[in-house]
Amino acid sequence: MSPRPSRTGPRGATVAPGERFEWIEAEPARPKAPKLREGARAQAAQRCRRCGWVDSLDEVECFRCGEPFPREEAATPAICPGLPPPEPSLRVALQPARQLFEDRGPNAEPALWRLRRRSAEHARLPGFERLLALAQVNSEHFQRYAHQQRVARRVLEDMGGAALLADETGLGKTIEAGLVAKELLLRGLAQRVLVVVPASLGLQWREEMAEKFNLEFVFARDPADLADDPPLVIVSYAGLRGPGLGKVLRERGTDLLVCDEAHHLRNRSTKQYKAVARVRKTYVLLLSATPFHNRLVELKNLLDILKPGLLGSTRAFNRQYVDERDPRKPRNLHHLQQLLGEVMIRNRREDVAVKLPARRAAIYHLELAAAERSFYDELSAFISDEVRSGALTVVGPTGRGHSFALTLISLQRQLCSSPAAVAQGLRTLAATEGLPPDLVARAQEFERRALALGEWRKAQAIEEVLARFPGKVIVFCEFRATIRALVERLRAAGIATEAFHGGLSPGERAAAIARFRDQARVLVSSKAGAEGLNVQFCSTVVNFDLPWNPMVVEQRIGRVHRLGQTRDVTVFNLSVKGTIEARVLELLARKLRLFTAVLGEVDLILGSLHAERSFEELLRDVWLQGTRAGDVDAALEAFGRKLEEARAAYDAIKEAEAVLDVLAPAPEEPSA
Amino acid sequence: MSASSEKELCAFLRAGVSAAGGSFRRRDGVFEVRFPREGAGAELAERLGDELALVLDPGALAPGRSLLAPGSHVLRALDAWLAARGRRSYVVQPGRARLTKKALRERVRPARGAELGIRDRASGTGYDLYVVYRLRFRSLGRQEDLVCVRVRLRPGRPPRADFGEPPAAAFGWPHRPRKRPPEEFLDAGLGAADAFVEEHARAEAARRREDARTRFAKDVLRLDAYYAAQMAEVQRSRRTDLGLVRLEELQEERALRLAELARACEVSVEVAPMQVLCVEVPLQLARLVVQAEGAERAGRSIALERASGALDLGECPACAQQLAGELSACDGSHVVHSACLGRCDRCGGAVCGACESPLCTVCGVLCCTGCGATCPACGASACATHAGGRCARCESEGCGACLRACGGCGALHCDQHLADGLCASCRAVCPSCRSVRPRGELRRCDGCGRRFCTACLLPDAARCVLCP
Repeated sequence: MSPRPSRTGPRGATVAPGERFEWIEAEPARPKAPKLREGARAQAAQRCRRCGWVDSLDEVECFRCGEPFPREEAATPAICPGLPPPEPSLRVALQPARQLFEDRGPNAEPALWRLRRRSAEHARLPGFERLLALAQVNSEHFQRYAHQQRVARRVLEDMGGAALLADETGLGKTIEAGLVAKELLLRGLAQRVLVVVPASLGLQWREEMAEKFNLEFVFARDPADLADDPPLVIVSYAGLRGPGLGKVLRERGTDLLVCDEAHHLRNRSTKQYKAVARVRKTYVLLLSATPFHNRLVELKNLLDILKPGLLGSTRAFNRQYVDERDPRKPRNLHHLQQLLGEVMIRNRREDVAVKLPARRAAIYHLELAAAERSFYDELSAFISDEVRSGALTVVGPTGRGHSFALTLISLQRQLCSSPAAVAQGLRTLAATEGLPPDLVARAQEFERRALALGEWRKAQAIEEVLARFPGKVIVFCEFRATIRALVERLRAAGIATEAFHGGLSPGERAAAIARFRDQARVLVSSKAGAEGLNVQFCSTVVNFDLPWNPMVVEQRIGRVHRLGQTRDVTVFNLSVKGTIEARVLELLARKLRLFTAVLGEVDLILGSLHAERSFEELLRDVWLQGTRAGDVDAALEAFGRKLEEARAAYDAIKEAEAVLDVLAPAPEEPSA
Repeated sequence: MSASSEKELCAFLRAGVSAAGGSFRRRDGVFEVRFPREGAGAELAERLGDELALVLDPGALAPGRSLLAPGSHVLRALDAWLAARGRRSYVVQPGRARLTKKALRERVRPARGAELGIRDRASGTGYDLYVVYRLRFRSLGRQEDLVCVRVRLRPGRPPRADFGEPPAAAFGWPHRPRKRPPEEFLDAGLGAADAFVEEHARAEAARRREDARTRFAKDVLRLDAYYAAQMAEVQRSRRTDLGLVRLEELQEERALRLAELARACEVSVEVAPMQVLCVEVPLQLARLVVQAEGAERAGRSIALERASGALDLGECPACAQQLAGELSACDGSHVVHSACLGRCDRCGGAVCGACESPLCTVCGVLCCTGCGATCPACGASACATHAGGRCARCESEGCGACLRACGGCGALHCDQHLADGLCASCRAVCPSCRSVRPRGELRRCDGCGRRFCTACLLPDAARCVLCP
């Protein structure tokens, strides 16, 4: 179901023809699939071949006629003779107490001795009921939810460090895995951690682990990245299954293996499944909100990585636990639930009481003024020409050809942001070494025209929003030049405004936030403010210009739409008609349904779109291809269709989640 | 965290900070700590920062605040700082108690007809060592234990180790910054503490290993069944090269999983000494004697702890329990419980378990050393009645257990000269059934004149079964 547009513009606002407010409404919550019911509490059972008597699986012969029940393990001696379990080793390493008298220094005061005794009691490692990691994480980046701690404790205490974390999207599976990893590292139970992720999530994982847990991972793309034998490694599924990097990683093994988006491992005949199964490990975490998509046996395949044999062989599993008519429907539910409870944890939003206020989003469709439009069209044509001709490829000092495609993309985005930003971009372009003189001259001419532009429709739109909607507002911009220009303009209009960007020192940042909380009405922030900033006292976010990465948009909204927010959150998106930004916004809002998606869903949809490349990279490619072919709209249209397909595929997968909700036991406290 | 442990943690932090010369203040649930930039606490200031804001509740964490919880980095840093300063201490237990007959009588009394006396009073020194060890158990989980082993060192006694904490009063006793126990005491005491804690660690580790073994065996069975079934499924399907590859993969996978299980179930324990407290215990040493009929019959060394007045009489040599109650002396000059005293069945002399008094192996009666003897043939103890016998044939000496009477003539013979219970003179063989019988049991056959057993003679005629 697509978002339903409504025509309720800001009351009394003087809008140009074609300009309008469009509210994006969230689709109604999909009703949960009815619970699978079984009359009596079902037990796994077997039927006698001779008399038809039904007996429990534990029985070896029929209670009625004495016919022995067939045992699958009957084949064991011939193929896989049972080995005597190896004796677990026991080592006692004692340091003699004599060493306490080795130094000739004076004896301590008895009071100090007693203090040390008490100190040793307090400093000693507690059991897992007390997580050490909590005292070591970056609290300013870390919103700790009780369910995340509970999961980490249960994984460590009850599951022996092997678990499938199947929380619903957005409940923080990454945080749970980070907590477990940090805890194992702190206690010395793990020295090496290997995280396997879709390539598009590698950098995100690295940043998140560094920011929230002070864990510096290496994102390995090549065997050379492992030359220093780093203990904490992130690798993509493609990297792990590859011959070079994969071989090195399999040989060195790991203590903790974390597989994010583990549904990529649901098919056991794939190379990546085999690659993961061959990694030597002690602890293993699989993270996936949708561990199976089409068949229940996919879930079993995942669990075979955690605890091989827990659900028996594939044939036995299908026979005992899968409905004959529907491969997604389980049977012997109670028994299956018990088994899954040993290795799987699934939190649902209603279980963990993470209640956030509603959020609503609107797109403010704008029309450029004539001067602005003319400038936009001419500069866009210039950029397109340069992309098509490929003339902007210069040979650098190292002798390697350097393409300016990224610079041109950036220029196109700056053009959508502000005249100041595009002037800055053109200045940088003109200053590039090796650029043909005629191009430099044209860039300088465009720069002069940008600086001379008097109109700035988007800034005007911000003033209109501020006039019509009360309360504090955070305006997110992509470019620092835009921030400066916007802050100046708003201050000139008598609106108390603060700037927040990466160029400020930590002290200046804190002061800016404090002034925004106490005095100012508007905070104009760069990407720096999208991460690790808690401003719940504000409930309105404006996306002044749009990043091409939907996760950045999520982060922006997440600054105010988080625990501690008491009011409904409003998100305004400025969309200037006929610009590339408007088309990207169209993709995000309509095809991806970014603003109405549940937190975390976007990750899954984009993951199914392309596991190895990020959305931003894909979008850049589409734009470049479209520009080269002379029809950006058609290229974006085709990309939009792919997004819709990915979205539809995800909707189908969500149906499997309803089955998972039935299968997953209710979350419980760790045994201790 | 419970309120009591929170209070204790708070008290400890206050004491620790003031030991480092810092200041401590609690405001709105936040502990504000300042360490000096110079002096003893400078090291902590460098490590943790000179100003800290600590909270006990993870929910109260905010930028600039650290969590104060068991195992947290703040407590570990403080522990490391104290570790360099509180390793070893030496205190002297004060005391003036004296060993008197009255004190002795409160513990023991003499047997009838005997008297107890105290001789050779002298001063001495004993030591109590309190050694704290950290035990780090590591298996699939990791756990730390702290144990305090107390070793009592007394002159003339072996070191005794058990678990025990120093008495609270010890931290108020006079402190000696430069003193240490004599080396021979130290070696014996620390060796005993090490042995005691190692035994404890080994037992604890073994218990954990048992758990691991149970879990491991179950997992191995599960793995075996699983991989066997998987391989059977592959084998049941059409035989292809792909199937063979899959089989190899499954075998590899199985070996890998087993190796992982074995690694996960390893149990190890590291035992590290952390600190030791030496308590110097002033003693009064003496000799306890048991007198009877005016003569000293037995004596043993005893010690009185001057601080507590505790009297160490030592163990009864017969039953290894602490001496108490009624005491006696045996003829072997041992001071024992009266109940542990026995009498020689032959002469009535006093004997105890420590006298090595033998029991006769033939009749089981207790003999004193004078009345018992050791058999030269078998080495067993025997009373006078059952000792000193001789073989009628070879005249070798033996006791009642190694010489036996012949079934025919009744004379004692050694094993060498007795076959089938008969000596060579009494032994005869029936020519018909070849059975061995005493010579007197055979009857002469009227037919052939040879001697046969009664079974080989016809019942109603004096002829053997061999005669026609």
